Amino acid sequence: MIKAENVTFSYSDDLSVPVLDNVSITVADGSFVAVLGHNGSGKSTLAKHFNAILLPSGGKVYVFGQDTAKKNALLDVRKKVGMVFQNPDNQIVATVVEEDVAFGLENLGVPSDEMHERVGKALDAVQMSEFAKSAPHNLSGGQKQRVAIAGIIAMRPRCIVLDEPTAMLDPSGRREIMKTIKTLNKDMGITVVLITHYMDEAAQADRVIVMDSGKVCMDDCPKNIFTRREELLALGLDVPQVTELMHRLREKGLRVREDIIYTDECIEELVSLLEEKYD
Amino acid sequence: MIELRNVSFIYSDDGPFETKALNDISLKIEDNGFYGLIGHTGSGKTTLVQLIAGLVKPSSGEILIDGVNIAEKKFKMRDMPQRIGLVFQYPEYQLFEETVFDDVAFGPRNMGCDEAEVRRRVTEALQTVGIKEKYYKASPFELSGGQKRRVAIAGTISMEPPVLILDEPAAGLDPHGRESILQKITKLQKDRKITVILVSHSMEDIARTAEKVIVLNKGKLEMLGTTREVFAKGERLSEMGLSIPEISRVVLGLRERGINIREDVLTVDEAAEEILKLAAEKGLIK
Repeated sequence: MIKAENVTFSYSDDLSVPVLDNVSITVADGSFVAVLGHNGSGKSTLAKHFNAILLPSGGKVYVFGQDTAKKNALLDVRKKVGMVFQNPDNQIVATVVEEDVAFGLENLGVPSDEMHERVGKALDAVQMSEFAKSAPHNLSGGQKQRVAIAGIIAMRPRCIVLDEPTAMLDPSGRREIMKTIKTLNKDMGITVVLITHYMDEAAQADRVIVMDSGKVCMDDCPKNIFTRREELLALGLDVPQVTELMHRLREKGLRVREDIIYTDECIEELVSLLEEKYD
Repeated sequence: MIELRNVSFIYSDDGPFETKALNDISLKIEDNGFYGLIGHTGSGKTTLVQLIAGLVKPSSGEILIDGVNIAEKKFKMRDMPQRIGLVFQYPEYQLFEETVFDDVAFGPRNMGCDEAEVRRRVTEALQTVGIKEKYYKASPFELSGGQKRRVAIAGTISMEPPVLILDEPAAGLDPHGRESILQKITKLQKDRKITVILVSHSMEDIARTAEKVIVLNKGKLEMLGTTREVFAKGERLSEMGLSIPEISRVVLGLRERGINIREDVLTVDEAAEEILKLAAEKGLIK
């Protein structure tokens, strides 16, 4: 479990303009949480508190029971919570895929046999085993990002924080990453915190946190979040295209559900609406 | 007009790592058009726009800008018949001046404009991207991410290029910032009647802005057609690592289930309109 208690943070000494303003949230083990918010709302800053890249100016962050501000907790916190960033090119260090995945393990002094096993399993988990001996620069964006994720998985973390991992990827790269994230969460039980600007990605999480001006302003399941369309638009955010479609239809007097957030359920709803009169 | 004739571009020519980034591309880009450029990572999009902007020369082939072949060895950039503005990915990393005004003025000053003309161009460019006058004297580094991006784009717009190429101008922006930048580019293209080439991985963004779409696949020109023609080929796009807009998938799904809806719907507005028509036919609404 990750727990933020009254966390305040400012990049300067001036606490009158905090980037995080008294944030308290708990991320349950095994959950898949998406974090939304406009540029500058504080979402990346919050995420960086989850593995002690940043320490709170006020308040506490506990990662699986350990206070991140305690110096001797650092290594343990970093082992338990891994981070993946936007640009895969900035995260790859080695010239061969499997060596890149092994990098973190080498630093931890993991014995060679175990290292091989962990690297193999990590590449399996992201479906990149066939590229183990390839050079990273020959891979696509989505593949590189999966290698970066494998490097984190190999460390056997309990939680992965991904900060806009699909922002630079083409559509198939985005699909690959979302599929990978779900596998890690559902099959391996890894807690996932996904920061994103894509509403359709957030819709796939179990829970959505919306941030504004350094505060948590909404915290609910995706269906409940995306029915609050007006509030989201006012915050510089949006709803999935299918939710927007339902809204437009309701405005014109059609009786369709407003809590539609996935393509499949949108199709079902419209089919039942338009078929109705044939009976 | 921009015309490419059999253009190829090879990295590390003749060496062991020879790669064809572009392979025998021939295409025409008409004046005053809004073109979308899509393709998987590594398909050659960036190389293509660099060639058109004259930043690199092709290994073979001709690139004609208003009939002048800029691919020729002896061609000099100062003889470029039309200014081509290129906004790179994450252009805010290239901001460098002390004030927003000076940063946007850099291009026009370099072009030799007098200060009155510089002021006119900078003011217009900043108005176009929606940066208010109170920020003119601010340091560009004090602005938010979305504002920085807009100032950087204004730095290219202020040179008033008749051709403007933007590589992922909305990447990393929140939905509001994304919408705002795209609207401004669309308006600029219409008002000034310029040619825009928009490179993007977002099929939704391409669908609502572009009139025509260029599709690159593994360095080859795969398609060039109207936005509707291109997105009608969903299966082929998917094979190339691309996709169709989310709303188009809904419409295809409805057709598969026997609902007789127009198949070439690209935006939420169009989808709503078509569904309302069907609903009206069935007497569900007036």
